[in-house]
Amino acid sequence: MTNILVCDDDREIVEAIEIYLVQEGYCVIKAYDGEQAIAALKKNDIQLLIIDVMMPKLDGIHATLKIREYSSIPIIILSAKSEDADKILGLNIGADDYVTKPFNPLELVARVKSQLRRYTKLGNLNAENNAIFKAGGLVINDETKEVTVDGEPVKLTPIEYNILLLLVKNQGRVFSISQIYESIWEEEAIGADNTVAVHIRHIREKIEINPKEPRYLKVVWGVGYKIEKQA
Amino acid sequence: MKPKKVMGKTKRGFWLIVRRVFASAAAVIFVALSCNSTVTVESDGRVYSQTISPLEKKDSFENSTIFTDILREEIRGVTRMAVIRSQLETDGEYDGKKKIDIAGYAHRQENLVETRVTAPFYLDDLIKWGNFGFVTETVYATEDELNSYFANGTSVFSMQNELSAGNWKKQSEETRIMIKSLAVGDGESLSLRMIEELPSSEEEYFRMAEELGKYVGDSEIIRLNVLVPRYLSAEGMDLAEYASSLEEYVSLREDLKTTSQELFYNFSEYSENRDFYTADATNLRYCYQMNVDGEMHCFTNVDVDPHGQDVGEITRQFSEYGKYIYYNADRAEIETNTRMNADQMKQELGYYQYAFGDNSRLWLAVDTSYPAADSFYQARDAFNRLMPYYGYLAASFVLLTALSLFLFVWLTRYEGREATEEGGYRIALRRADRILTEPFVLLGLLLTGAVAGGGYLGYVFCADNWDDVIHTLWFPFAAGAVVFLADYVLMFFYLSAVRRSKAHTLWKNSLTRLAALRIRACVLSLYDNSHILARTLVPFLLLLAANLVLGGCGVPGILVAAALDVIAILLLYREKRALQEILECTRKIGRGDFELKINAEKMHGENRELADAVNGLGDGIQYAVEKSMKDERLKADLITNVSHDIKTPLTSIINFVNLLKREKIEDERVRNYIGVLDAKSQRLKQLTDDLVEASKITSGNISLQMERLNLSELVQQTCGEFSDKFREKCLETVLNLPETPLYIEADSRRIWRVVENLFSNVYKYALEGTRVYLEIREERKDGQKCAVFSLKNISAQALNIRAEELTERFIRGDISRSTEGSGLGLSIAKSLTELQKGKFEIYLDGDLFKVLITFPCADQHFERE
Repeated sequence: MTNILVCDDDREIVEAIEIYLVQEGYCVIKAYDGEQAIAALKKNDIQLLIIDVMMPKLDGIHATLKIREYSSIPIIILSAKSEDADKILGLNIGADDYVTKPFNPLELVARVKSQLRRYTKLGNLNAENNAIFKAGGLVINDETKEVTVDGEPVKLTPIEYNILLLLVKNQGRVFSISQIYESIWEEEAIGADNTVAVHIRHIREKIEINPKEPRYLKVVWGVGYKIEKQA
Repeated sequence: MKPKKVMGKTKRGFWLIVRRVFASAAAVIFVALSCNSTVTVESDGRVYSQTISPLEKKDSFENSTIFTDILREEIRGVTRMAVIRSQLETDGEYDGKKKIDIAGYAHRQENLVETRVTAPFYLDDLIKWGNFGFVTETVYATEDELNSYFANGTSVFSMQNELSAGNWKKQSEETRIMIKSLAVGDGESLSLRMIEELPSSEEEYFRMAEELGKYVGDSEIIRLNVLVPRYLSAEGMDLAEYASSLEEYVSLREDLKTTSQELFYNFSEYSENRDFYTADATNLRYCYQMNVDGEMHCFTNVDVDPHGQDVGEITRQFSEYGKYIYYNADRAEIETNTRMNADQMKQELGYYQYAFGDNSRLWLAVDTSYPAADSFYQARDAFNRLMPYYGYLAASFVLLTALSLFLFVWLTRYEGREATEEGGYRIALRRADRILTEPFVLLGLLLTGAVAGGGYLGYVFCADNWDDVIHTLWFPFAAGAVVFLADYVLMFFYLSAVRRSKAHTLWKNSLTRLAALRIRACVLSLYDNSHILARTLVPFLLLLAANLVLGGCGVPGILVAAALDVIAILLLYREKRALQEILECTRKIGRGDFELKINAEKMHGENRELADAVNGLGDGIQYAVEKSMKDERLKADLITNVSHDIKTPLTSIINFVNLLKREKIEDERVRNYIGVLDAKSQRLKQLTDDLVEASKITSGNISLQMERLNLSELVQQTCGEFSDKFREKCLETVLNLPETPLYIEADSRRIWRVVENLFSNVYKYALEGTRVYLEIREERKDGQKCAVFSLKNISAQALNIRAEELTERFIRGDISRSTEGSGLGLSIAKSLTELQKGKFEIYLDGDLFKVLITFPCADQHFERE
């Protein structure tokens, strides 16, 4: 049984999240401020924490800081603060993901699943095979031509697969549309064509939880595309 | 404990008085010491002062310097008297019939003895002659004629007796009377004959020579003063008769004059002071054994017999008096128990050295029982009176002076300080310190002068018996009182000066400065307030006039004119420079540097007004800008906070609507309701996000990370993102991209937002089934390469508003208000474009909607790695 601690001062939100998570077969423990969350964490065996930032008594940021002193469970911050600075702060102090309100409940569930998979399964995956390329939770097995995200298999067309393989092989490097075109189609790119851009979008829709805020395949607007180098 | 920085009023007054008393006391001691250490003594007609040296041992007057000094003075006096006596006396009595060898006497001090023509005269005659004075008559003749007169007693002129007889009348009446009264035996003295016979003027000489048929040149004639022979010599001869030549006569005549004058002088001294060195009148005992005219004479005031007693006996006799000196003038040997030595003795004899020939012996002694009230007695009196206290007085003087000086420095240090409440001090000025500096200094000088003048008047008043006055007891105290008073006056001015200099008002409060300032202000106000024509013309005309006038005054004038011109140029330069500064500042303010201020302090006239005006303008703009910035920021903050508050309930709405959607609801109507709720809640979410972003952009509360981007790439990427959506509305994109990539400088996420907004605008409002034209091209605008992105589409609804209104917040084409946009899309796009130094333009032509975005091109040579 997987225990998830949900902490938000707005009880309706906690309730809604509970409904979705219970439907997915998780057990939900509820807390309504930071102190309660820490207390609940000590009392129960918790596998994942969803925590709000703006709360009475102890806010989410300070609670995360305290929890990180002794625990490494996945923490997803749920906040109405949508500024870049807020997100950076949250991720820097030890949160694993940052979801802004108002959120799509299905997206939240997907993120929860992803974090849990990584936390429980991927930790002991070994990549001895030379044909296996990894970028965080994204794994490409070039022998079987299989792509998995956080353990979930993803179905890609051959061109999409080749583009993704090119980017994963060269993590951190930015490829412009014409560079991608030339290395995949192996012919010179002709000016006005958005084929590559459309393929990229399709890949993103398949491997990302929220294609508008991609974790793996990032768009560098006006420059090209890249797979972020993962630690 | 911290040293006190301020001195109380009472304390200051007390120490001021203490210092004054100290200074006055020091003055009293100083005056008393210096007055009483000076002993003024009278001796054989001379008055002289001696000073008691402060370094003496206090008990031994006879070993003191003053004793030695007085002794030397007395030795000088007694020696002089002895020498005079040797000249005038025979066997201790005045001898009028003493024969004096005039040449010998006149040259008595010359060591080299030459053979000279001389003549013996009676002492009485010489003294009387010296007293009466000498009368001479002038005659003219050639040297030969005069020599023959002296050699033969006659000359050519003596033959002209008849002629010369008339010359008698030419002699002065006085001479004639004198000659008649002379006891000249036969009346045929040579001098008289010469006076009678020789011509008494050059004209007469030439006349007489002409008569005699002689021709003599001007230069050969000599003028000779012939002494009228009042007395004849001891041998009954006229002075001229001793001479055998003109030269000898002149020498004799001068010797006679010198001898009789000096003898007369010595005689007056002798008759006045002959009794001064008698044993009763002085404590000095002396015995001078001198060789006079080959005979040994002895001058003494004690009972000794140099002929009977030998040297040792006399010396012993003198040593019994107390202090004694035996001096052998021949060999410069001395035997004494005083501090005198042979050199000093020689020095004291000095002038009279000649009188002490072979075998001269001197004995001198001071009777230390001091029976007579002479100079020694007076000096000893003063010495004994002063000496016991000398040390204490001198020490007190030094101490008092030091104390007073210390107090002076100390009081100077604390002068004018006044405690402040914070525990520090400030310099406080008194009423007297407000007087202008110059009158104040003048007053101080006047008062100081008055004190000095008072002192001088006192001196003049007492000058007659000054000596008595300074030895009185009250004199030092009077001097002390004067010092006390003078100190009061001087300290008053000094302390005021100290306060002024501490408060830096010496110059600030000076008449000169105030006058200069007033004049300057006058000139400036005259200048600043005059008409512009006067302001321009008057200085120019003045300068021109000065140049013309001074140019006519020669080199110095031209130099002054040149200096004036240089000054004028400098002034003009300053004026221009000020204007330049104002101009630059104005430019900078125009460019947005509202905080800039012109330093108007140093400017005058229009420049100053202009500078002030510009400064005021800048202030106004800055204030307005700051205010609006603040308002915008407040608004943005408000919107952000409100949106946070909206988002939380919105989250619940969205979540529960979602849950409702998942319920299996049969009723079609209810499903429709839920659909509306879902759409509106999504729109509300979009609206709050856009609202926050728009307010942030307009308030400038946003940081950009500029980098080089390829505009074509961006458009291609965006097309890729929107391809599905466009297909959904059957919109066909027509891309027209340049061959080479066009790079611009922009923040990649923000520029994406711009393009995304435009594309979603197209998606929302374009007429279904139409084409969307996208074009990127390079253009030149204002000499700068620009990348232009244009987007054209056909609006689904008629655009019944103006183009610029489209970018205003919350404005959309009227009819499309009911669709899903927030109305902020174009506004955000425009603001973001402009933030990134781009240009955002919208054109409407019927249903044609066209957007132009222009960015300056980035450096072409740079390639991204």
